[in-house]
Amino acid sequence: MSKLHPQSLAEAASLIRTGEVTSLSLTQAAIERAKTSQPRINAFIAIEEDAALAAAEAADRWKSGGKPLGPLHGVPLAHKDMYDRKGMVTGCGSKIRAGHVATSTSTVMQRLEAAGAISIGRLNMSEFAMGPTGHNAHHGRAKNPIDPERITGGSSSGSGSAVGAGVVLAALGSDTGGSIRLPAACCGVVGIKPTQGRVSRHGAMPLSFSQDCIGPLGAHVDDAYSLLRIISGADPLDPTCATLPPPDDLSADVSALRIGVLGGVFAKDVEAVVAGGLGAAMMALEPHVAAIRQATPSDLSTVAELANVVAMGEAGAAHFDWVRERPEDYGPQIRMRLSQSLAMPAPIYIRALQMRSLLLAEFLETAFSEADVLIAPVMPFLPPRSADVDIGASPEMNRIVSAMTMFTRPFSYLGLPVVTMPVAVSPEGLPVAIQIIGRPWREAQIACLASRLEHELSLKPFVPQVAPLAQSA
Amino acid sequence: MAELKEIADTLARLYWSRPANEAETVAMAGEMERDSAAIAPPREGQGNVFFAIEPSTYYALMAKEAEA
Repeated sequence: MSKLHPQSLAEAASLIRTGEVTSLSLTQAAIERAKTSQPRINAFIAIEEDAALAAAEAADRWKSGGKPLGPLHGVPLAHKDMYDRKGMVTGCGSKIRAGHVATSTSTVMQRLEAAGAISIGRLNMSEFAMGPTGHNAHHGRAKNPIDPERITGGSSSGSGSAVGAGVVLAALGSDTGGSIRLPAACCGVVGIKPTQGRVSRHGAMPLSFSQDCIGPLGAHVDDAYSLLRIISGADPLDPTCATLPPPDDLSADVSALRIGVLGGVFAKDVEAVVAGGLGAAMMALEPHVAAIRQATPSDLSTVAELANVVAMGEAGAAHFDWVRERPEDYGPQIRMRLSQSLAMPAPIYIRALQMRSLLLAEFLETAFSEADVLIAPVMPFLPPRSADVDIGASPEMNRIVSAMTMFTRPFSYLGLPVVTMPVAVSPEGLPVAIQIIGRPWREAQIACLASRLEHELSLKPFVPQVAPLAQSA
Repeated sequence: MAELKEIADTLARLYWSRPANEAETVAMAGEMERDSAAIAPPREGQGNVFFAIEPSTYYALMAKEAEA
């Protein structure tokens, strides 16, 4: 591959550090890939070329001055359109915030900037992060780079699409009910939803205060996890953020881990190709861990509704005044979903929060009783065709949302960390992906296991990478 | 459903000072149907088991996991 199209964050950072490429040339190449792919995959809401090139030039001057370099110095990335950066637009994939210029920079963007990373633009997303399919009434949907007729998944649709297409090596998304995991699964990349409270949400657009998580998507486990470690850690500006240090690196041994493959609702009505992919992945993993067995989850039959009440109740509160005063500025589906909050009496919302502690305690006691790490599919089916799930404000909306998030929502509600990764390829060339679920705060453990599995499976990239520029650095 | 849609529209007029459109009334009516079936009934047949459970109990459990 061309030096202008490195295959990992570590490689990109190394090429810059050693002077084999400049940040400017890498960033120009990434912007070119973004522009070339945009008509096909619509991953970006805005490619911020001038700002990115200025930042890249500044990065090169910094390096020329012999100053210390951060771990991602000069490396071009892109992020979901929901993270404030001072003086720049944070549009949230919406019409309402389309011109909103932030007055300060979010903590996660500050940390990535401190690490030296460059942002080349704002990535497409479901409006206000509400939507597991990735459709957006204002910006058009981002498209799956593997098969543009298929969905990217949402709400971090552009993040999945851009990383899956090789435009950037990694991107931030966010996850409240599956919004990192679904795009990662649909686009054949790695996604990490951290433990609730692991990453500061200061300066990030809110959806559900109790369930929002910020996390990365990356071409590989290493890349996604590197980003997670950079953005994690205590933040006095976010009182909900844990005061724990960032998670450990990927050096831990996995041979003593007991793996539990979740049965019950997680094995019901799963398409054969998905079950087969999961099974093959477990066969590849088996020689490298202590044991793999079936794990029986506690009763999670009401979790979908509980999670929805919490999510939509809190989203409804966040959007209350806009929904009242300018409902026509929302896409029809988002307006419909937000209206649900008005029909939730306070005791129902509070009960949904009360039940979280009971269900978490039960789940830790049952599913994790004989397992350190759990495995489940991301979806019971392959990435759907866009035409089959583009239902707008139809009464079918809840059915589609429930079907897509059936396996992801429980872990959002419980607040557990999850790594999503592709493990197999369907006959149509589509990714089959799994969730690797840990106890709270065990991101390092599940990422180590994911890294091991990635090494064993050695899947090829799902799409031919966007053609690199000529070899000039 | 008709009764629930009427309730939905009343809620909209009260709290949003505007009527709900058809999609909103359907969504709200559906929400009321689902929640009354899934969340309102007493858990495991025991009355008012949630009397003394604070939502913050969840965060205490998460903090305990961090210490483990």
